[in-house]
Amino acid sequence: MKIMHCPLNGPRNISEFTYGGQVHTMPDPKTCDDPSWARYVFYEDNDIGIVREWWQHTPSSYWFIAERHNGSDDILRTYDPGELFTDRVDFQTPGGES
Amino acid sequence: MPVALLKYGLGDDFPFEDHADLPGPTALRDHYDVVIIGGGGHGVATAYYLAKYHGITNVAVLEKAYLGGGNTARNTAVIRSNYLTPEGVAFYSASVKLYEQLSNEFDFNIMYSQRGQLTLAHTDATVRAFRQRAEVNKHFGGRTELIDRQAIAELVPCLNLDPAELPVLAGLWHRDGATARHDAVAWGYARGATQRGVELHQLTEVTDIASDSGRVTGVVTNRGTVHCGCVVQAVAGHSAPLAKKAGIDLPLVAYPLQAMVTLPVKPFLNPLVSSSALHCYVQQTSRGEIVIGGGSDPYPLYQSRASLPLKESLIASAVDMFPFLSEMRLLRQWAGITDMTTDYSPIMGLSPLENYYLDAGWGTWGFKATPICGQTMAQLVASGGQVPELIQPFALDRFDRFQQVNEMGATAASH
Amino acid sequence: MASPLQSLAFEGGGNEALVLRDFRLARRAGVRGPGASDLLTSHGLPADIAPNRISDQSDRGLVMALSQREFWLLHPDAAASSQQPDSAALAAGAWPLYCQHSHAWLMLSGEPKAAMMAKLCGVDLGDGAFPLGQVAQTQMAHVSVVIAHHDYQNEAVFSLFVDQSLAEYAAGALIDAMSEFNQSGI
Ligand SMILES: Cc1cc2nc3c(=O)[nH]c(=O)nc-3n(C[C@H](O)[C@H](O)[C@H](O)COP(=O)(O)OP(=O)(O)OC[C@H]3O[C@@H](n4cnc5c(N)ncnc54)[C@H](O)[C@@H]3O)c2cc1C
Repeated sequence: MKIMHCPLNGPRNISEFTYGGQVHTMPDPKTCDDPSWARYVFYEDNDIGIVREWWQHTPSSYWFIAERHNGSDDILRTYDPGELFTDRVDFQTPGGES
Repeated sequence: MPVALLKYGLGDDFPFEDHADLPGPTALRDHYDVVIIGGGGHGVATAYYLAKYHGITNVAVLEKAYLGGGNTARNTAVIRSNYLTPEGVAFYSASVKLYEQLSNEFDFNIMYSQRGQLTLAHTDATVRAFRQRAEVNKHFGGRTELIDRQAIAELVPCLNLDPAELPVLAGLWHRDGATARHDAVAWGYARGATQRGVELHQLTEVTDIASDSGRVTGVVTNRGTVHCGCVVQAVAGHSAPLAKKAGIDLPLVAYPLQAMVTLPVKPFLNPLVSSSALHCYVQQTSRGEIVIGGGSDPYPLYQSRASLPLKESLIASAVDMFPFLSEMRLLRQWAGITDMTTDYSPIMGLSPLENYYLDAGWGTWGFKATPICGQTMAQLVASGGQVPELIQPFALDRFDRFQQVNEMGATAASH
Repeated sequence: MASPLQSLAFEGGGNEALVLRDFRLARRAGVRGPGASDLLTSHGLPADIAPNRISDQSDRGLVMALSQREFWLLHPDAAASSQQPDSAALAAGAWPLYCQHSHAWLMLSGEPKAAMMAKLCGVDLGDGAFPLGQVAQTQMAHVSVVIAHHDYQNEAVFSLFVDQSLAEYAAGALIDAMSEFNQSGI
């Protein structure tokens, strides 16, 4: 079985993980237009090479980031999202309470 | 043995079919009216309809490997039209109608075999979804109905009606469901197209796409640059990276899809059988092999080795459905790279480049659409960009408009 | 159909035999969130336990750390509590976890427990790789499980936490795997 290294739980069978999509920057939902939101929701980079992705270790519900080559399936690095994300994001509906 | 055969056996003049083979390789020309990238079923079908019905023959099909060696060679050949949305059902029904006539059209046997497709429901919610699919399908002239456990047992006596403690509640019985010989489809189209003057260039990979002020001007290949009036791209799993070379982003993610096949045995299974809950489908080919297919791999990858857990779960589910399969030997296993959209419908029609046409996003379900894709893409090219009504719902810009055509429930694991 | 859980022993067995015991009625609670460790400290419990470790606080129970921000308090000898979770916890930036509702607690003891678990789980639970005090969040027989290696009544045991709704299934899988080791039954 292929092994992935979870930053919290160590090396585990790949079947313990759930793929969560590419990491990309979210546009501000309050100000962005429909096409840029569509781009954020539906589009990935689609290069064959090293991609930065969200993964979850399912038994511990722990989300982290992996750098993986999507052609060779080599996993180069996994790390806590705290390395990239430091701020909390709060969503507000227009005119509504947070 | 007919006496006539003996005559050929003794003489030298064996009854060769004229043009049984494809024309040999030729030099790439400098210019074509139409360049089609991808020599899979979709590419050669487009060339065929262009040549036969629109008289457009200055066409080159560029294929990086060999004819029909991509997903056309790897798919499990389920042909059906029992989708969910009116847009989807109308489109796939038109394809099934073309398939029914395809052997006559080619004068070449594609071994079209209409045995019906049965999808099993294991939950009440699935039964309700099936009811909707049956009604939409009937509305568009398809033959689909819901059947109960007893009828299922009569259709498929060897099916385990209580697999993995998930009792089968009912089934969606689609009489129009069929299968065909996938190589024959690719070869039938390629032969018909090349006989009419289309050039098929195998071992010819498009490495870049040249454009100028919003129009494509030509393609760069490993055999040199070719200028052209317009381009159709039909490269399945590699759709997004190729389109990117033309500066076009496509909302696709590439996942491996696996299948496997056992040694041949005597015919025992006529319909194609698929389970909605086990994510597995099982069918017997006309050669007697049992084909096992299922859902996509769990994460994106451009590599057909694919993942081990899915192989395990596919086999486990197939054995749950047909317990005696555990006694059989697997002959081979393989995967293809599938270009998945989020709504499980294709991307067809215009692109941001004026004369660059898209036939992409075919994911795990595009073999059944081969004839209708060829026909509608040919109409699109011949008319200089008038999008045929049947494929308008599948436009690339539907994602920007948030008007997706959701076929997920009717596609996943049933192909 | 008889539930596999009904056949579980409640008394300790010999050291060689594998014994699976049902602790679903024992007390357990959890907290999670940025304020979780402060909350522990304010109750006089250690919060400097590394993730995936379990620490024995003798009569105050076991403290299990599932991440830097999630702790479970386990009391194998106390009855499950019907107390409402502390609302002060919320204020402190920690969310109460209803572990008694969400997770069944089974306990496996006996010498060959790691060898037996190798049939069901991909993680090496042998003493070398998984010493006392270690916790593994992993899968067992295809379902999620938390496995904690700790002492109970002077014996090293594995506590297994699976979703309540999976208790029956998990116990069935465990008993099936145990039968190879326990010729005399459970
Ligand atoms: C395991 C599996 C099972 C499936 N089962 C079914 C099923 O039961 N029913 C169904 O309807 N569909 C099924 N599908 C989906 C179906 O196979 C595809 O959607 C369909 O074959 C796509 O046809 P195509 O002609 O567009 O692509 P392909 O047949 O893949 O042809 C594309 C061609 O483009 C070539 N190419 C790629 N890049 C370049 C380049 N840069 N230059 C030149 N050439 C290039 C490739 O070599 C390839 O030959 C299945 C797919 C798989 C993998």
